[in-house]
Amino acid sequence: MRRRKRRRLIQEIPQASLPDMAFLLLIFFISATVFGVEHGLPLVLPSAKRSPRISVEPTEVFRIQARADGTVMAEDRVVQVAEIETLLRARNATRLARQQSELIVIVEIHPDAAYELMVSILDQIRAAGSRRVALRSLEE
Amino acid sequence: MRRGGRFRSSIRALDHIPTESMADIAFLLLIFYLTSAILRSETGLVVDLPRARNTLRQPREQIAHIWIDKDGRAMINDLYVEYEEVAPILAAKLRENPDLIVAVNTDRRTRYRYMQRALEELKKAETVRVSFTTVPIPSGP
Repeated sequence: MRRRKRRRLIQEIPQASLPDMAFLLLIFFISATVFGVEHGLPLVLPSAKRSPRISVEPTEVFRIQARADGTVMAEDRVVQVAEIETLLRARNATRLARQQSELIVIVEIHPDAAYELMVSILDQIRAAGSRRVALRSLEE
Repeated sequence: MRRGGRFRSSIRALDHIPTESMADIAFLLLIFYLTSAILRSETGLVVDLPRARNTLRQPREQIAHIWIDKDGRAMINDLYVEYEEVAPILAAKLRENPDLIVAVNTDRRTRYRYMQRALEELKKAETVRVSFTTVPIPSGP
């Protein structure tokens, strides 16, 4: 007499390892994800086609110069970078009180000056609320 | 049911943490990460970015990166490029997306002369929107 082999078919797909797989994928994506946040100081560059050349009066200009040795001059006097915001705010407030337009800030940077200095100056200009900024190289 | 003169509580405490919904939770989180993830496509150069307080958050999907290290070497799309090559590369990118923001990732110790050369190339490529990438300084205590 032969014994009948009992083989029972499994009726469903085994799901016991599903959470493990899902968590493994999850860990991979968490570690590989870079969320879309970038910080920067924005600047709109003039375009030769779109922006016509304009001439401005010297009284409409706030001139900042960054020297190679790190000294900064605003309106022809040596200043600390942190002072620029206050100076610019005061000048703009005076002009607005007289119903004049906002000053155009011209930043002249020496080619040997550190890039960090330029960023610090632009940071101060943004803090003062000025949006009309021009970058220029200071003659060597 | 009455047994021994006292009613037995019909509420039975579970002796295990239910894990049936674990897979659902994991998949939900997975879908969230899949939809919000931007996988690293560019490594760039190792640069020590300058710090600034008044930065703006830039939409990452509209950004093209240029990297300039402290020695003035420029990199785009993980390839070192000469400054003369910057304008054609960016012009091609701008044709695909005219609203492109060019993020300049420059080392804080880099001399301005390299930045100036990069800016000249950006102007040649008719780039309008530029962002100087910085590390934000948290404002106030």
